[in-house]
Amino acid sequence: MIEIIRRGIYTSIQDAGRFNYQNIGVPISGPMDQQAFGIANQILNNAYNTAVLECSFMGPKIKFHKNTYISIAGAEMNTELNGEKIKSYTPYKVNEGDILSMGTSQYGCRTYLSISGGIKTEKVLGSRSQFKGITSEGNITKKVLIPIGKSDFIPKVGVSLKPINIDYENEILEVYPGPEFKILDNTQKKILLENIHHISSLNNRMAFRLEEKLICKLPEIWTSPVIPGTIQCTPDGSLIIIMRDGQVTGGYPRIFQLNKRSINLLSQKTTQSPIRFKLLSKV
Amino acid sequence: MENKSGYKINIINQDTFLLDWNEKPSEILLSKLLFLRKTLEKKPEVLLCRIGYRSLLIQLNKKIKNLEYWNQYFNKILSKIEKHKKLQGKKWIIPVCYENNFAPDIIKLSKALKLDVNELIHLHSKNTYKVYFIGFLPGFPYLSGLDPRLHYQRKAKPKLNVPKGSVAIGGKQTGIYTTDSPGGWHIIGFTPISLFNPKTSPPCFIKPGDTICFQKIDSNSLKDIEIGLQRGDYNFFK
Repeated sequence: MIEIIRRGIYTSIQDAGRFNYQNIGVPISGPMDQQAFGIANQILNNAYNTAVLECSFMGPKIKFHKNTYISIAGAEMNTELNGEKIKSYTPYKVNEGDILSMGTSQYGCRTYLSISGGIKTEKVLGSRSQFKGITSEGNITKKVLIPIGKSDFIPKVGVSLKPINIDYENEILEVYPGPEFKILDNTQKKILLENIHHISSLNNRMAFRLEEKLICKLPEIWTSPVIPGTIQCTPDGSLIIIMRDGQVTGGYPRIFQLNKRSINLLSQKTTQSPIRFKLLSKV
Repeated sequence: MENKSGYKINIINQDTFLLDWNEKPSEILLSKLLFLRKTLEKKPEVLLCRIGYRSLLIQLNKKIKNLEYWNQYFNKILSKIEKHKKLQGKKWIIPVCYENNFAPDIIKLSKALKLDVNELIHLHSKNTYKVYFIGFLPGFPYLSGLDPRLHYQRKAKPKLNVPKGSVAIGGKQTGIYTTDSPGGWHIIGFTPISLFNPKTSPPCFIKPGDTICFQKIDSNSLKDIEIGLQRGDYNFFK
């Protein structure tokens, strides 16, 4: 077991996601930043689908009730183990009674805390990812005990896994043209592709809304499937980017689709972060 | 890419494409979409397949390499359904209490539509509705068949919390909120029937191609049904 002593700003349990239920309206969920999630598990030789804690903006404070190994990846949160700072992308041994304390994010926005053997909460519809209405809680809402698996990790001395080319301040999000991209006129396309946009305060696991509106009068469309990374334009010109917990269908024109790398990058950004779109012509 | 079967292929990303039909949604198109989905779901490289009113999203478990191959394959499947069999869906009767306590927006909406409240209820409960697909919320059915006299634009400002079971009208559509959720539709009633439960198998009993009717009930019957549902002896399948 691990005990959540302080929950942080928005902490949730995430495995790779809930894949087979989008046909009945259930979002995929899973980690916002799949790359950082994957690395956190990889460091401990955990299987890719192992459930971890996704910690946003400010992480939790946790007491361990069992000896195990942990690793953190993603945003830098000045994490301390028993009062001593620990590094990201490195396995650490923790003992029963140890306290892990995560601070506020300094670089990036979401940190993944992986535990050897993984979090072992109940699976609902094939996944442990928390989502309101599916799992009993939509995120970690109070001081709770969370079951964890048995650790079988054997550390290799001095090995740490640092991802290459991580630049959370990179402003460029790569997009493919969406199915309704063609209904935009040249001025609108130019504004979208040449201006710097900013993330508004409406950003969460469901969707990111941008601060700047596009001047347009686009029609609504016959409701159609959307996926994480789909960028919709509402009748008042708001740009909404669907994220991992987002709805599975939408009725607004889909002007862009983020590629997978850019969804991960966007997940590490927050209110006021500047972004620019780069159109990829070929998939 | 357009072709003889009337759809256009959009490549969404490296492993996903969307087929889009430039025609009004219809039961004929719905049966095509359902047939395509059923056939594609058996193909090992198809990870998932989802439908909209007039579109189909297909995600592969690998990169799309040969678009022409897939295009021909879709055409081949579609050519096998020349005879559009009538959709063999189930029919569900959903009891709805339209009384004011359960219908916070019904008076406002009836005024806006220049209809008597009873007339609004009659127009809503007389039709049968076809389920096109499930989306927006877990278990939320997209229905066609709303009487044009009940079409009305969504609220300018969505409500932060619409309770589960609310029956509502938005634009040209009517629907049932399957979980508590923010929403911009006008709430005209309440059903005690739970359309989605992650703990049951299947979690959602209504399927695309099914039809549903709304049956007007009063608040006393609502209570009886709630008790029946708890006991497990209420049956709303027709």
